[in-house]
Amino acid sequence: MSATPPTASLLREGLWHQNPALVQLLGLCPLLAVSTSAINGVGLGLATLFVLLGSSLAVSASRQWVAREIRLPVFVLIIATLVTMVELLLRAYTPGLFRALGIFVPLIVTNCLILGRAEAFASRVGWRPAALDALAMGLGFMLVLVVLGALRELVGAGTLLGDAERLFGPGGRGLGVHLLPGDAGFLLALLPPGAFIGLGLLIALRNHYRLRRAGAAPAEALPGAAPA
Amino acid sequence: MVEIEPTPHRFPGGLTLPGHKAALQTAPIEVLPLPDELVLPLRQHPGAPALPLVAVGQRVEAGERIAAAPDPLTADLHAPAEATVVALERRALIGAPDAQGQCLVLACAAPGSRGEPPAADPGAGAIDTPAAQIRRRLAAAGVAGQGGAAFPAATKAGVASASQPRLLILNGAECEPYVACDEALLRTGAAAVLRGAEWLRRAAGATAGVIAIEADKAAALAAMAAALAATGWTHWRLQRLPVRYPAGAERQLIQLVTGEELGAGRLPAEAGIVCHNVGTAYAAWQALEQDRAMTHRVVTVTGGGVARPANVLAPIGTPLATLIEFCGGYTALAHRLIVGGPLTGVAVADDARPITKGTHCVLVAAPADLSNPGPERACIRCGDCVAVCPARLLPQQLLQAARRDEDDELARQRLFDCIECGLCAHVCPSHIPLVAHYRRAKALVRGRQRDAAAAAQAKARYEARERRLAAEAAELAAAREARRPGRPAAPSEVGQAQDRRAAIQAALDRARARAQQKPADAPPDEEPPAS
Amino acid sequence: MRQFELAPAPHTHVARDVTRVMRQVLLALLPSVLLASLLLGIGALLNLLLAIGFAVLVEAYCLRLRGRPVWSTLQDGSAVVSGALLAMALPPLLPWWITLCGVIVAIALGKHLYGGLGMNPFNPAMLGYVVLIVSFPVFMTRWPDAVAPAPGPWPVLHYTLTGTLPASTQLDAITGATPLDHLRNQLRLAWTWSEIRAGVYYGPLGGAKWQWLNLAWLAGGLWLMSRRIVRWQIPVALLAGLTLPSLVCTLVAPDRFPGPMLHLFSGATMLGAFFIATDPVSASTTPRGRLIYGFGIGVLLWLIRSFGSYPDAVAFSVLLMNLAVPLIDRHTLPRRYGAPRA
Ligand code: SF4
Ligand code: SF4
Repeated sequence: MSATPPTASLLREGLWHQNPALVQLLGLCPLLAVSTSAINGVGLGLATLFVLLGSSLAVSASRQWVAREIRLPVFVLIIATLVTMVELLLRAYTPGLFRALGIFVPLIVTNCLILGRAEAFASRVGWRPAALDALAMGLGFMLVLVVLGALRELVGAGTLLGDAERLFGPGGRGLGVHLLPGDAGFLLALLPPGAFIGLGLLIALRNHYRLRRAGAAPAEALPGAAPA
Repeated sequence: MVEIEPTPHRFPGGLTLPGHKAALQTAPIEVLPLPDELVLPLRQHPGAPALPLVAVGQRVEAGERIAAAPDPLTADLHAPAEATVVALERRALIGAPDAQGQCLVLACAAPGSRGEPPAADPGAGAIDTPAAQIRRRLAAAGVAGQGGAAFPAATKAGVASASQPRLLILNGAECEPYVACDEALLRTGAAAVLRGAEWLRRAAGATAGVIAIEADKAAALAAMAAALAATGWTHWRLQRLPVRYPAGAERQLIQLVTGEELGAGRLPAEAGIVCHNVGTAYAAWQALEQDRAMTHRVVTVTGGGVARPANVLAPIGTPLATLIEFCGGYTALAHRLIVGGPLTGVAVADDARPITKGTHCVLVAAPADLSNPGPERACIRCGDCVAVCPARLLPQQLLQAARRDEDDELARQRLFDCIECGLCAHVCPSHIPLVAHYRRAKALVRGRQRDAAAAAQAKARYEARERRLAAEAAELAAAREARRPGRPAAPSEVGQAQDRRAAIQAALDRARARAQQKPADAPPDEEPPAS
Repeated sequence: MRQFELAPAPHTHVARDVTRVMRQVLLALLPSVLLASLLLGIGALLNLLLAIGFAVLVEAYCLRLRGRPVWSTLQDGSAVVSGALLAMALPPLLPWWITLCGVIVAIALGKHLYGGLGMNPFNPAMLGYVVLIVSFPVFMTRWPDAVAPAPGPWPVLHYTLTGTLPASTQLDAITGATPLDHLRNQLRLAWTWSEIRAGVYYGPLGGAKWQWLNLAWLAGGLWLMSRRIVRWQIPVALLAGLTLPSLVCTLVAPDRFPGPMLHLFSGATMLGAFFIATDPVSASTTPRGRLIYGFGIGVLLWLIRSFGSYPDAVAFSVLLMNLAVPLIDRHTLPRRYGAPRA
């Protein structure tokens, strides 16, 4: 990777070409587990984005002083510090959301997406591209989380943003929309298999679109086939 | 009267198929008038092609040897009639669609004449010729198996005699639908067949014999019982087999008669058993008591596509077209030309090809004979194929393995246990041509094994050559060392030997170092391995 | 010289083909469908028609997406049978869109995602059923009462099409407990099996109404067996696997455990034994493997019925054993021809 790739291309990489969830298939464990509603997705997405951004900046800024041999423990230390901050913030301001996300907030430490960006990118470039890359990757991850969450919420419970108060407090209660009548949700979508099926559909959709754009050249290896 | 015993044993799988033989179960054997031209393929046997002994333009007598077997897996060829050799050329043969081979083409001297003398008295009396002599005469008459593979009878008897077999089984099962030539021989010439079998038994040194005939051939069973009673031989028994395809396949037949399962890796001889076909026994009788070579055989010509189905005694080398013409020609329904039975026979592209020693049936199938299989569908794992497989395989799993073409999985599913009986594809409700897949897989695996063997051989040769070169270099160096001036004039014997050994060692090391610098894939030369 | 077509051996084939097999399976189901419509209301027939119709549409669409020949593949009849089997498992009082969901899961997810007919590791109909029961537990446990007369055609039709009942009918009036529901509730309330058995929910064989359905399935299954479409191993092993533990337990603790008869003639036992577990694609293919597979389903069926949280468990048992099929197949290869008897 060259020292300073242009901004637009970095953004495009993170959001689309190298989307962490759809292409690199990184961080799937929290992704599949908490994406039961759009708000959960926003919550975890923001938390991850914050940690990613912070850790990339810190890793990039400190890269001169960290010896190669001990870089991984240092990365983990930085990430864990940030995660602890996020956890405390969530607990203080959005306790409902914190309860819904549960163990997956502390588990951001182990999200291979974050460590992966630190190792593969942030520790080799300056703070500016590192921050941009973290932003793009974090947004890409969040995008998938939100879309998948919305999809599962819609199909499974028939609502959209139905639990907005978790993030926005009581004021968010009016935001939710109830789209299906009664209790007619397709419960499967909220259960673990629904997460896999949903993510599979999203990946398929993305591949389909790409193939169509590429003039249907299916010989090309499909992304999502092998995690990086 | 001799007792006809039912077989006490069964084999796994199998299926009772409609016989389609009724019309031919009472008809006599008809003799084909000599055709204008006979085409004798030099390769009719498992071994290498026979070597022609005659030149183009040469006149040959009936029964004259015209090609010699180069190895024991091939039998001699004889001229079926007085004729002129008109060509030695490649012709299309029965087998794969593009099968071709060198053939001796004979123009008969008296086409249209009855080429075969009327059936003779089968003879009587005990047979006590020494076995080796019988085998020589069988070989000289070119007698070969008439059940399909045309394995030379003399070789089979010779291999078997080495293991002191206890049993000769005369295979009169003829389990495949439509085929009725063995039955016709049994009906009309049981005594001759029995004597032929006795000759074969002696040739192999077997102590006893069993004649096994399927239960739906009542006339054949009765005729054989009568013939057996007439001889008074007590070392022969007559067994009635269940009507269940493939009762006539070698391993299944052995299981029916003896109860013993003979795995794919074992030869019948290892179990002390030798099997011969009814037609082969008849040919053996002709060879030993009529002094006639195996130049003719009985062929069943049948199916809805031929006007007048018949069992025809025809010279080896008769073109299919001639046979069919003799049987009234094609009907309007003639649709597929199959050489062999409907389950294992091969479809051929045209009727110009000649019959060989192993051709027992020509099935001119009408659409009604074929039961059109319909479109191929996905395997639904119904297990119908498992239920009928006589080799106790899982044909559907084997199919998966064949499609993936993985050696390990194919071996696990025992590809080479498959006897290609065709039953699995016959019953498959999804109409998958399973056997075709297995044949392809077998060919691929064999190809790989050949390649691997060739590579191993090349490697061995190369290494042997390296060893030899190194040894030569070492010797040379040692000799030079010994001749070097300034050495003590008379070193002690021991010291000399030690010196020489050290010198050889040093030279060896040098040579080895040189060898390692060479590219590893240096072409192997044609030296035979030194070891 | 005359030319002929070429074809690989063998040149003859049995008359049976997949299409015919599927047709006969449908035929064998027919009496039980009619009986179910009589006993439980017209919903059974309605479900059947809807499910088959949806199944054909979904199958056709999937085939088109996958670029396979649509019309000729449809003729294998497998989609129709999957639809029919799913319909047999559904309660006969169900809005149409739930049936549609089940069919989509069964055909698209359960079959085509795995590569189409023959490649699916799970029984498609049961996969559809299980997805429905975990997704729509309320709808999927709403059965017509086992002792009340069958609901009339009009409310059922109304409910199927709109998901609501006509104003004149109450849901409670036409739905109720199935015999197996009743059994588990009463056992929880510490009634003994002999006391429960004396109630109206049980007939001479098994649960009221369901005993006759099971008889119809049994008859259809035996007919299929006589036609060699269903082999004996799976049904016999399944019924044995169900009978054995229930017999043992009822002998040890007769109050707590009903005997084998109830298990054999209640719920969907016979449907499962003869029509569902015998789906060849997702079952074991070796003769010995089929015995293990069937027996496993029977035991699981009894276990889940006795200790699980669902009253009936044909679908779960079948799917669980489907999972085990590759393993079973691997370890039950027939003895090699010529190998010594173990
Ligand atoms: S008979 Fe055909 S469809 Fe049935 S299991 Fe065998 S190969 Fe598959
Ligand atoms: S052809 Fe092979 S696999 Fe098929 S039934 Fe015969 S022996 Fe079994």
